[in-house]
Amino acid sequence: MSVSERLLSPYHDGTSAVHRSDAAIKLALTLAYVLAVNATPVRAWPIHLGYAVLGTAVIALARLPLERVLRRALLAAPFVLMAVLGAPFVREGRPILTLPLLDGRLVLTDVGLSRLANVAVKSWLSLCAVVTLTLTTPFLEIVRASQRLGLPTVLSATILLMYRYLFVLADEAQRLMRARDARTGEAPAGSRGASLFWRATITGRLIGTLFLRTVERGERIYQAMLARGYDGAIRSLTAEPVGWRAISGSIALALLLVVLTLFANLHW
Amino acid sequence: MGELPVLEVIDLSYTYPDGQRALRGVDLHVAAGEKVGLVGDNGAGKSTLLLHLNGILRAPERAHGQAAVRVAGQPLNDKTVRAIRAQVGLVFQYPDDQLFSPTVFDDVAFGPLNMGLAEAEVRERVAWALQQVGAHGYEHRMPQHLSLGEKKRVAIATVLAMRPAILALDEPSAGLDPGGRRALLALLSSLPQTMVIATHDLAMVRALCSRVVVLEAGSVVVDGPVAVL
Repeated sequence: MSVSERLLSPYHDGTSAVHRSDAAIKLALTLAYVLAVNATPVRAWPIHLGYAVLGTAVIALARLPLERVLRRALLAAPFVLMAVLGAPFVREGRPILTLPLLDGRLVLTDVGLSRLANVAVKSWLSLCAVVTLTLTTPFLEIVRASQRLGLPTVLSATILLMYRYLFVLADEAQRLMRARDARTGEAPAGSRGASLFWRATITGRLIGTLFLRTVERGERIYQAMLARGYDGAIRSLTAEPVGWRAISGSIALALLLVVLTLFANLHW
Repeated sequence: MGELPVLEVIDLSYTYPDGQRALRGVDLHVAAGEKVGLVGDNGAGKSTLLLHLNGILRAPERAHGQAAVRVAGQPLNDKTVRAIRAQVGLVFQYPDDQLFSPTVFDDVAFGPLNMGLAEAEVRERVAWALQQVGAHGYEHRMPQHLSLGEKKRVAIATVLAMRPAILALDEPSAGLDPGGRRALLALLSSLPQTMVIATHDLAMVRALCSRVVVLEAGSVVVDGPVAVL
């Protein structure tokens, strides 16, 4: 398994009920879960606790190593952090703490803190749900499921092409970088003559080369498609319909989520 | 050449948009069932010629309306190009360009689906084509998990599934290890199709072809039995 393979294929093989259930159901439920989590106000914290228990139960049912789920969810943490950082310092609310920075203009307020908790809890729960989906469902099945759920074929075909060539591209990039590293030596005197600017230039050219090769490859792929009768229409075999048992099961779960969300919004 | 030619190239010239003259007055007649080796240096025009055989590249319209390429007697033009693409299977040099689908099944089914065949027929053809190239049971594998030799064989299956009368192969043996090359040779000699094989592998031409065509700077300089090699 190449490096690109390990990075791009999170799927964790298993035989659990979660692994075996229909990908379209899993995808729809994951979306419902994310929606429910984000529609629930943060002050309804017991409900969020319930969401967390529900999520953990699915992870346990799928026999996924919890550590693996958390680690993959952590990959998205920097993006969440960017969104979260400014949240505690808002003008409204009761000031709690004034930081000795920027002439005391950085004031932590209770409203700000609750917003921080809001974004942190919701993003974390949503991320874990999506990671659980990708760990228990091969990527191809997720895309096919989204197609069955009504994603336009142009989009799913684009995603599939992208996925196919990510591997090819990643390996190509790796070869280019190896070729660079193989000629990145040090003079016997030990001085590293290359300046940061110079090295950045090399990296820039590397990326440029990769881009040009990609464009050329795109052209060749298009020719290969034309050669087999491609005329702009994307055709695929009819997908099998979603089974009714799976549908009724997921409707029940989705209803539970709706009830939880409604309860949270009305009660708190 | 007693038989009626299944593939005719008549005085074909082609200049790339950047001004590079790739083909100059190429004539080529291939009889049904013939296997022709197309050899020549890099840049001699081999790949360009192959791309003309099913209309991926087309010479500009001629004044007297005569087509430069005819397949089974049919002139290649806007009306016939889709039918001719089903008759001339083009196998590209780099299987990573040819195998653009997420799974082997999807890729082999691509051609038959574009031909508008019914689902049962598509499935039947995929299974048959994979069987032909010895890749039976590969349906759900992903191209990135195949070796180069396997990719090349699957690439051939992707065009076989369209049941072409002619196969045009670009460097089929390039980059293969000896085992993969032997398997490919056995496969190509077992297939009944008319073939035009662009290659640097002269040993393969000797083993497989009855006739050799040498291109030099876009012109045919030798066209004769393989013994001339």
